[in-house]
Amino acid sequence: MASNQFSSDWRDEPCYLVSVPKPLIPFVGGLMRILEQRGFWLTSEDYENGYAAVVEFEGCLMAACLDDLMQLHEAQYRMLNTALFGVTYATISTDPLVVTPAIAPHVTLDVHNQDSLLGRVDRLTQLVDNRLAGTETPLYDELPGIKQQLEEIIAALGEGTDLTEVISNLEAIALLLA
Amino acid sequence: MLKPAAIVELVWRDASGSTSATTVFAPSSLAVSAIDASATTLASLLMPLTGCVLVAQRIKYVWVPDEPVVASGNNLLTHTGVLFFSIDGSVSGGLVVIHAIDDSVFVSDGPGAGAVIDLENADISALVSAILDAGMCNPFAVPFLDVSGGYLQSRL
Repeated sequence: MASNQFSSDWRDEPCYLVSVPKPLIPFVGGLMRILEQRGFWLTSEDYENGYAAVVEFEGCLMAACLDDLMQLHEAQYRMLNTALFGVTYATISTDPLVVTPAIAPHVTLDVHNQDSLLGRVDRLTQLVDNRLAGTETPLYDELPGIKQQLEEIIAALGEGTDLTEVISNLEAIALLLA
Repeated sequence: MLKPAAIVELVWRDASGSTSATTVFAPSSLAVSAIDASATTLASLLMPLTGCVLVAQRIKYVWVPDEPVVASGNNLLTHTGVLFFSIDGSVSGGLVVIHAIDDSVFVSDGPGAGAVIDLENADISALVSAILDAGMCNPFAVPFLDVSGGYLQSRL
């Protein structure tokens, strides 16, 4: 009788991802049969713990194909690329799965669609730059900006008028925009 | 047909660790509880006569075909389908094997083609239902809850 032991806290231990070629799986799984036997283990407790672990392991061998996992991973990548940058993809075929454009080794900060998350942030940034500071941006070109208009109002009111409080408030606004 | 005699094995182990069995027979018409009681009595009477310790007691009811039979398929015994069953607390807590499994029960496309058992297959589905309805369990008497998957293994 073998004297192999197996702890009851085996589920708390880390797992290692192993890629098994499909033709090898029947033999890997079949060889586990010896671990299903009482005679392999030292005590009945070791047998029960070991049996539970080895049957779960055998069940996992063909539960998740690595190709499927990679496809899901790439689908997640494309989802993020579309949501963040507005890159659009097209499915050329489903079996085998071919999607274009292919996933590149790296990305830039280029915004491909203004309706994407970064595109909308970019729009807001340009809007603020243009409206407040009067900066001409690719999307907005209204001039002059609020800051300059306020400064002109302040300058006009300052000549021969008695609007001390108004000027004071406008100066405060201009300072906020500085 | 059920053989007329059930096999009763009292398994003994000596000090070196070697094992062997005292084999007796009981009418298979008797209930297992009756045979078990008799076997226990027999074991207790044998113990003073031997230097061994009793390590197991087995009762086997044996069914055999009425006439000699010949296998019809070409697959070998080791061409085995293994069905995994969930239990309380585990997705795979027990298994049932089908030796020389027919290749028609495997899925025919995708990465599991020819290796993963098609749980929608009518024969497989009927088998799973029968196993669950019968209250089958794993070696620790934990009942099966549902089938969780199955595939081809090379095993005896």
